[in-house]
Amino acid sequence: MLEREAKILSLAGLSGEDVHQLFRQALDKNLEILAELLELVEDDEQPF
Amino acid sequence: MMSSPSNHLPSLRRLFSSRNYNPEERWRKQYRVIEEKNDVFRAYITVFPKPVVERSFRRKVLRGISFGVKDVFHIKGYPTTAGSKLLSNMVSSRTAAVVSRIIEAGGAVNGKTNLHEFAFGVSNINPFYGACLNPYDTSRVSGGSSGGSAVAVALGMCDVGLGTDTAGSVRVPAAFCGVVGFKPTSGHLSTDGVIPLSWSMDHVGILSRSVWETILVYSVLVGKPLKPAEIRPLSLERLRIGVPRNYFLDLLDRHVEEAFEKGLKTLEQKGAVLEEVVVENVEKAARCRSVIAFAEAAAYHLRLSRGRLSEYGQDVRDRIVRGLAIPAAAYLNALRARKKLMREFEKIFTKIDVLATPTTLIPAHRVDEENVEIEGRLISVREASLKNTEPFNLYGAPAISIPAGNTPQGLPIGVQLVGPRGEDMKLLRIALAVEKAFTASS
Repeated sequence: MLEREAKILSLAGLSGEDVHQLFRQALDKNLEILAELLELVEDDEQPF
Repeated sequence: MMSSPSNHLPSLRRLFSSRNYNPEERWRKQYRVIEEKNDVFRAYITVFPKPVVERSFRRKVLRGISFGVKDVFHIKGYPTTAGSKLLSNMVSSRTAAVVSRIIEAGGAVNGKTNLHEFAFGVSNINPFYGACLNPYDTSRVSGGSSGGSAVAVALGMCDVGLGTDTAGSVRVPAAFCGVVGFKPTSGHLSTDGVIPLSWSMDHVGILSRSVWETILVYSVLVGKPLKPAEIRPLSLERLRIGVPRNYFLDLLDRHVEEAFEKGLKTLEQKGAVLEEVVVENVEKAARCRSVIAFAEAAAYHLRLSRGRLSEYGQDVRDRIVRGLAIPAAAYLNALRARKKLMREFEKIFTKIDVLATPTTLIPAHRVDEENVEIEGRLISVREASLKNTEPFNLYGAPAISIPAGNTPQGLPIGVQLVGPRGEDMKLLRIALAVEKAFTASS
């Protein structure tokens, strides 16, 4: 995970423990949001 | 420090068709205001030595009306910074489609206005070009991200401002600075030649002192210019105004709530019919919008940020990192959720002509505030600014903020009117009537 994370961040020219920390926190938060969004669209049979 | 914005220029509506209208004299006065006040309010990033205007402007529909243009619109031969250090040396090689249209129609652009860096924030506290301050109280923000255009209009530095609105960036500064701010149906105004924030939710918008100027300029930008005599209000008699009783009114500053209720009463007295409506699932709009906006912004900024991330302001840098951490499934499900929310709004607009809400939950907050307390609850200034505007960027509906009074301290308050997608001119004509009713009752 850490290696993949570092790859994603290096694409944006990012490095440093503080940035990795922020990225990890954001990923956790975004997974929570994904769960919320799934609740909203679960009855949607033709999504696109 | 509290002050009055002191825009002493005569109203364009009264002057425009008269012999006394002298655009060059008006521009000179506006340049004097810029010279006197820009160092304090920081409305402009670049002031042009003379307006960019066509030689034959007097014979054209806009007749030399002056524009301050948010510094994300390219204008050939002039710098476009997007409020960022990263682009501080860039000179545009082309002109944004809407700016070309303004100039072709006889408009005069006098400079590029200040913004939140890359339009990615709502305070307009810009670490590189200075915080753009509120014209009524210099200890408070202008709101953003099109705050420079709002301040320039409020102070009489130009007649009309151009801005962009991805979550409320035209309507919020309009409400905080006591001017009119309009974002049309998504896709109605071209974003070609505009530095993007979130391509699926960016809207070009207009800021002005009154709805009249907005209608005139909007009609030009959509290629159906109106003559001044053709700009007329719709009757408020039997107009169905939807008043949401969930989400939008749940938590409001006391003065904002009072001004909104007073505004509704005024419209009812003029014959409008108030209909209570409930917007299902709208509380998910903020989540959905921020996932889409942050992911799209991060994708755009990858090109610019490689190796230069430290050159962004801290808040924008953090938002880009958060955007990079959005899984594809979250982005795609946010797009699905967006469609569902759009269908909710479509249902509501079968029962009403317009929806009315307070534009923001609070009047302009202080520059040093990150949170505000409302009814004992602490909420972020970002939420207090954007909560009521951002659902309509998801929906893509036309929405306008109109001044609706002031707090006892003199800070402006805005009311937002929203119409169904595609009915922009009807919404604007209703807004013209509402503005007249509010002015008469104040």
